[in-house]
Amino acid sequence: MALTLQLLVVSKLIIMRNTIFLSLLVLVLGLSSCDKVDDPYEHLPKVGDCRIDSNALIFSSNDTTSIVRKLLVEEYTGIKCGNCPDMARALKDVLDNTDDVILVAIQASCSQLSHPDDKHPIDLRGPESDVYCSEISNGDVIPFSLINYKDDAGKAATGEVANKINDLLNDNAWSDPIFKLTMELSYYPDCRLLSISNEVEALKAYNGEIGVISYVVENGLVAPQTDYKYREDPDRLKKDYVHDHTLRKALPSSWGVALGSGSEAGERYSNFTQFEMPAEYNVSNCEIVSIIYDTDTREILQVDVVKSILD
Amino acid sequence: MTLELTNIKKALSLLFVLAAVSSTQAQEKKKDVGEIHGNFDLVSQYYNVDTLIGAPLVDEKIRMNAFSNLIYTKGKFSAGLRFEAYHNAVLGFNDQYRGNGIPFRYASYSVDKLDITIGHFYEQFGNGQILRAYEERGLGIDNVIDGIRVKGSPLKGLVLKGIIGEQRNYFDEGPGIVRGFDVDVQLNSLLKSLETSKTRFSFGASAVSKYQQDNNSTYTLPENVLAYSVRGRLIRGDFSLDGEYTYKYNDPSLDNNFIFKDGQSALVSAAYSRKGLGITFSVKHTDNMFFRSDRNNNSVFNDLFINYMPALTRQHTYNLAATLYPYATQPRGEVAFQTDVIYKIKRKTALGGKYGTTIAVNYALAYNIDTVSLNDRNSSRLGYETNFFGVGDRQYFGDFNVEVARKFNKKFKAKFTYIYLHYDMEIIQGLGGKPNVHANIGVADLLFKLNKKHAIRTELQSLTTPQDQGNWATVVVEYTYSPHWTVAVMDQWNYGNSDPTDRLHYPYLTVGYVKNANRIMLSYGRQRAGIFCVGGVCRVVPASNGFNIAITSSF
Repeated sequence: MALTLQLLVVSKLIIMRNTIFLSLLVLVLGLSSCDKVDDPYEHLPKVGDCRIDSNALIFSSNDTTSIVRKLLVEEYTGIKCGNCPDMARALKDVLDNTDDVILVAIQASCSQLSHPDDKHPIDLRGPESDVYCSEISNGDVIPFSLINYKDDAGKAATGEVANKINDLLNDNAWSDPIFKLTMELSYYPDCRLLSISNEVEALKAYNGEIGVISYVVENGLVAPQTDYKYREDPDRLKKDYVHDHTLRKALPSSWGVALGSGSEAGERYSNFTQFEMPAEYNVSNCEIVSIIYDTDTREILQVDVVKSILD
Repeated sequence: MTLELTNIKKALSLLFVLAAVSSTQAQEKKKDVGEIHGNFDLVSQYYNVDTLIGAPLVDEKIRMNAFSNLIYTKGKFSAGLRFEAYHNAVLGFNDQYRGNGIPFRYASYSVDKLDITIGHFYEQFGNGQILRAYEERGLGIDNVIDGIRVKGSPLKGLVLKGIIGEQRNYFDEGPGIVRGFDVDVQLNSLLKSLETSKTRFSFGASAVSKYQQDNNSTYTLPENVLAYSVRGRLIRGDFSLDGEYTYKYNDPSLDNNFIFKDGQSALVSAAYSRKGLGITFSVKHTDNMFFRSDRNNNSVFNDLFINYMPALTRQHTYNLAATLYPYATQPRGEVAFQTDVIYKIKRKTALGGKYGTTIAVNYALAYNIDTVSLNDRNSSRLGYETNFFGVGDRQYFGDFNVEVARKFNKKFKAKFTYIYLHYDMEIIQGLGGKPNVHANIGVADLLFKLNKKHAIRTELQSLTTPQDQGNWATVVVEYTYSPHWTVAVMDQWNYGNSDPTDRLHYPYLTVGYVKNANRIMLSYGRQRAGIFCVGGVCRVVPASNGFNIAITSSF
């Protein structure tokens, strides 16, 4: 008790006689401030829960040095479809001879032959597999390809696919580009965040409504595939079959987004979309395909690809 | 703010004016005119290339460090400056020590229990783990603060200090501002009822904050970083207990790879002492306690450190133990223990001999701290969680040493030392891939007093280890002719190096002359590359071959 009283007396003495020191104390403690930072990245732009450090972004783009109309071929296939590898081989032969054809392989959900089972345990169907094939007559009968259209107008069987492609490529009227497509990508590895910017410029007038879709396509997927030409297995099952050009995701949605209609020459459109690449995607094997199409006729008006996100 | 010639002139002018005023006053009143004191220190080396030991070609051939302090005092007023010259700095010092300058000038006065300093000042709060502005010439460290210090004692037993300023960074100043406040209370002086108590209490508290602008584009950084500490001491009879705890809020920097974890450090020491026996036990926990006034500086030259982390190890003085495997405090994190026992066997006993025998045993250990990684590099960046005082699984350092000192007769005394070292080169020296060193060191230090003026001292040192450079031997013979002359010859021999071509000798001859306050020392020979540490803070000393001259003087 006596000690407490003495401390009180001492405190009073300090207050009364030594205000200068108390002022000093307040001054210095005021100066000795502290900033507590809970979020070291709060100054960075944020998408969802992910912040982007612009210093760590990886940029890539398509080649726009010359403007040519490129051709989209969508191959509808299935992992249990023994004839489908024939279509893949036919298309590979085409791709080996031109850079103007861009291929996307779609596991056709409409067909049971794309559904996994015990021997084909890896499911390569994406969310769009069912959407697209259900729009096509006999979409459950695979394989087939869609050339230059996202509907029946582009349908071709294995035996005719190469000729139809070459016919279009050699058609000067078709080859004259209507739209210029500029794709600019940025990828932030820490968040696996992909940003796609599509800039579209009308090179001539076009009456219809146009839309844009961007595909995430993955190469090098190894999954069992039935192949009737594969003789080393009695079940014709090639366990280490390499699936290239496999559609993983359509962005921003299955049918993309409409850009506008009644385009005048020189008119520009743009679209920006972001996507968090799922962990199961091998980003180093992924390419991005962007499509400009007529939303009414579903004709592909321009298509291009960025083959490597990480370059 | 580089100290340019104009600043030098201003500082010199100040001293001359002060001297002139003193002189005028002297003529007028012929009484207290004040005093000027000073000292001078010069170290210069001439370098030969010596490829065998790795002594490099030095373009200048000769390099020199020198400084001189001039201090004027009159009553409670004091002012001073230090002139420094580096032409260029001797090997092992940072090249930013270059040219001339006056990096230290101050004026202070005391009046009515208030002490005010403007300009440069050295300061320490507690044991320094929150703030220590100090100079250690041998290490090239000078983190003096340039600013204002106000110190006062409003009551007996109560000392308050407030400081603000910027730290010296060679001939420049660091980008951060350091602010601090300290209160120190001696309870037995403050409270009358405790004046006669046999138990002595004292405690203190400090707060130190630094400000540095956030110009980092990657992280949002705290511009103001606060640290606080509390300390206490209790003494009763032969026992004493000391403790200090420091906490530092988020201080991301190059040192800690920009993590935002708070830091903390605690040092507790208990001692028992009576005539002929002293026992001390200390324990320390340090976690993320890099505290510099520039977050972007992680220089190995210990630039701009606000705090000082004392090492819990014995500071060896014998060449091999002191410079081959000395321990450097790990502010990143360490748990350390040290026990010291000093016992003097009474004289005129069978064991103690005629003059008594002193035995000193020291055991020091340092481990990494026990942590769990948070893997939050892209979110909160706290880095890891720490188990306070938890001992990790990696031993950084171990040192068991025994020293026996005995005077045999009036003409001969000897000191025998045995040291066992465990040394993690990867952590302490940052040499990845190097093995842990286990070394046994023996030293015999023999002093023969031939007569009143002549004495010979001999050191015989042996270090044996299967790791690193292998075995070493050192012989020192030092002849003293009092009171002026000293001649010493030393040879270090790396006789156990696994590479026969590296089994080299390092001979070194020194001649010293002392007269009153002046001392001149000339040396010639090879100096082995090594590490020089003071109190757990270290500097790498490169190999050299050549002449060395050292002059110290004071008035």
